[in-house]
Amino acid sequence: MRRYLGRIVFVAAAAAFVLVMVVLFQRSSAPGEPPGKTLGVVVYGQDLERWRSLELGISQACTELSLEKPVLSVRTAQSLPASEDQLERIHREVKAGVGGLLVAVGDSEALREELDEMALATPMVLVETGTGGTLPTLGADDEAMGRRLAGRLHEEGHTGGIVLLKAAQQRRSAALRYEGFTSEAERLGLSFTQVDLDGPEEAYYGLRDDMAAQKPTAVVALENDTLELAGSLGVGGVYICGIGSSGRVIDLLDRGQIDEVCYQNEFALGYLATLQLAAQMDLAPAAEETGVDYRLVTRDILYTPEVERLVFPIIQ
Amino acid sequence: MKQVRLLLDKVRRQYRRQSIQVLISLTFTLAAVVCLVAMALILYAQFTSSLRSTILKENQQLVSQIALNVESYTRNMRGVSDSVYYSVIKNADLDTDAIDSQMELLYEAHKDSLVSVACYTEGGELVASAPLSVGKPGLDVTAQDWFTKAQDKIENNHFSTPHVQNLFEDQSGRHRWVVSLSRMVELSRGGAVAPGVLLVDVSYSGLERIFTEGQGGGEGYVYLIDKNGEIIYHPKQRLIYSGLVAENNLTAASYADGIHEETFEGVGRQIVVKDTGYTGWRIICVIPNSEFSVTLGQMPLLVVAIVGFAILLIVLVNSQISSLVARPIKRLDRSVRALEAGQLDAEITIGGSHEIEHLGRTIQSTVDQMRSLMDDVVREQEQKRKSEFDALQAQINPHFLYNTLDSIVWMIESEEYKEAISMVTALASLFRISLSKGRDVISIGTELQHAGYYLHIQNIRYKNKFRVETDIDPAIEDLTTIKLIIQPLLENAIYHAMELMDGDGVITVRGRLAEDGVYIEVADNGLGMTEAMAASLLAAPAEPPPGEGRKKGSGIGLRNVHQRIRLYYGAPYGLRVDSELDVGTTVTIHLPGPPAEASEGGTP
Repeated sequence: MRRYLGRIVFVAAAAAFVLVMVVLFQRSSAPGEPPGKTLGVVVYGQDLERWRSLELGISQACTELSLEKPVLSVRTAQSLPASEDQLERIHREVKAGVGGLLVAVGDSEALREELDEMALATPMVLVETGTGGTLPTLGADDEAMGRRLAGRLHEEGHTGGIVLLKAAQQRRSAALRYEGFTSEAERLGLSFTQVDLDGPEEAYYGLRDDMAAQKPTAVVALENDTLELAGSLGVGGVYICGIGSSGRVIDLLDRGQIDEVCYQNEFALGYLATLQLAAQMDLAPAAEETGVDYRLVTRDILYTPEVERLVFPIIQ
Repeated sequence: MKQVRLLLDKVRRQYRRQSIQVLISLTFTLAAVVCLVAMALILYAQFTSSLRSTILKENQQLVSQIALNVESYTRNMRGVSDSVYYSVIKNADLDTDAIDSQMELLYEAHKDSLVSVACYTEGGELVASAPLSVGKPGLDVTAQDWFTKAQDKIENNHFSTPHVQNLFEDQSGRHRWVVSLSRMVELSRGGAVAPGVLLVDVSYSGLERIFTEGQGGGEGYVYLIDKNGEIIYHPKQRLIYSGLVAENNLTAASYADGIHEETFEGVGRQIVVKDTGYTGWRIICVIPNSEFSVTLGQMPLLVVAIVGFAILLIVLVNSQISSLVARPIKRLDRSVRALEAGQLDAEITIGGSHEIEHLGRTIQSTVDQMRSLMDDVVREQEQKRKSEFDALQAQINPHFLYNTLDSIVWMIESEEYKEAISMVTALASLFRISLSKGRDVISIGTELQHAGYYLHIQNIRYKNKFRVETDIDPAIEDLTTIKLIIQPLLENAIYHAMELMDGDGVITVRGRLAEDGVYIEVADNGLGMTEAMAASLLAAPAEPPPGEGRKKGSGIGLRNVHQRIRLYYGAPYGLRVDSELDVGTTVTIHLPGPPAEASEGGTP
């Protein structure tokens, strides 16, 4: 045995070397190919244009990570309640075999338990608004944005006659913004009236009549849809401000139909959320936790280089 | 340093302890591996350097191509601006000529890349534009960058950085990113010329497309800045604007055309810079150093694999060669070890290179000689023993004993007690000296005593038929000799010479010390013998010479004594027989002289 020990050691060493080389070669081959896991993006609402900046941010991250760019899923089935429709779309994405999901939740309460359960099998990151459950959420500081708006009203001298448009607060972000605004408004001694909006069309006509009757000095809308609504009222002489990020909101701002917008950087939101999701899917290293910024934009500064780069996506 | 020396010493000691096969294998393998690795490293370094140069060159070409495309882009813009100015505005009187439709036509011709064309008065009033004709209400264009820069640089065209067009009332709600080319123009109104500003807005997507199509794969990228370092295009510009990533654009603005090396945020990278003509924009190509490793791809692994495989092959070949060389040496070594262990019949392996073969043959020859010598020694020892045994046997000659005992009986029966006692005493003394307690070597004096006892017995038996004369040098009595050498000579003399004598036989025993040794002569005045007979007594075997019969007696006495003396003391010593017919015979014993130590028990 001793006589053959040298040969055995040599053969073992040669075999180990060949094995290691084969493994290393296989690992190093085709490094740039996409990993084969896809992402799904399910958002609330039916206006794709509303999510343009978010989509661009997701696209940027996917390019960097060599991932397939996902198609945003918006509401299609009008027969179902919005939350049920969104849940169904989420299930569809999971069934289609996506490796992870970005979800802009339309109804935090209704989707919380279901999403918490689904997240056990499918990595998930919530954007813009959370559910109050266990899932990671990325978005601007909603309470801070609400407080900031209240502050701006106070700075502009609008201390009374303020109408606060309140939609059905199904999203947690809306609730937090409302909380932030109302607490700061109370602190600053702002007097405001809350108007509850029950639905899109009825809300529009009803609201217009309300505005005509009440003659407010300022109208505050804490969500994108309600801000678009407020901006399209065409009520003159009223300081309209709110929180929004869609192209329509910016357009209304440009036309002078909205006076001030608290703009959440949804491009950064999409980008960072994708990195976070990719880290959960083990497709990227763990991303540093960075908050999403927001900025107050008025018509005067809309076309300054700093602001226009933020609010106008470079798409043709 | 001391520890290094100790380590080297240890290594050297270990090295010396190894077998020749291990030494050859290890040394050649080490040398080959070192050369192989050095060569691989040098070639790899050359290759990577060459690859690096190639990559940089390729990127330079890419940047040059992009520069050409950018120049073409800006040239087109200038072309459109020149067309609008020289074909439409310059020759028109704005009071009478409507230039909108011409502008519209020009716009349509270039609408793939053009966003709008507009002409303003010095005060910012819109003169004409295409495709949109209504300016944004309340907008003061004179405050916009393109307007002020055009007024600053009267003789030149001014290219803006990309921005969102903010000029017209656009019901579609689109906000277009454009690059503006503005210039001062002369507007004619009713013969009077007044300055104005011509603005050509080109879609930014055209510029963006040049760069997105020009981006190679991998981690490197290309971006565009103006001469102040402001980003015009960057593949991650929105991330930069959002503050999520950073770029070293401001530093890049200071680089000259060519290749530069920099470290930005801990990442080393190569920068290729190229200025474009007219605009002063700079194209910056960034190649992270890691890109070179990625481009190498599997090359490092391949090199490692080849070197590893070569090392394995070298190890295999060297071990085979060293085994081939060392095997005959090992076999020879095993044979020598067997010899060392006493196996004289071990086979000496002869093989391998001619030096090893020669070594084997030499060892074989030495072993053969050794065996032969040992056989000789064994033979000598056997002869000695045989001779001693023969001598003893001769001494204990049954005839001598029977006759002597007979004589003693006769004497006792004849009541010659005195003679009987004398004979018995002499016989006892004779045998006592013969045995000598097992000693081989006794003093000459004792040997002479022994001879004396023998003669005494024989004299009685032969009724004084002869007489004995002795002449012994006392100096020799204490010297040593092997025993039982004189008595056989006396026996021969008595049996062959004295038997036929009638009272006048004389046996003379003489002993003297000479320079070359001790001489003891036993002479008789008997019948003597021929020279041939005398010569044959010592040389020939037991058979007498032809024509002469066997004499009485043991016949082996003289030869036995002669052999024993030569065996013990060597060839120069022994017996010499001198004889003359009818005169007598003298047998001379030659022994070594002093200093000779008496060997008390055992052979000298």
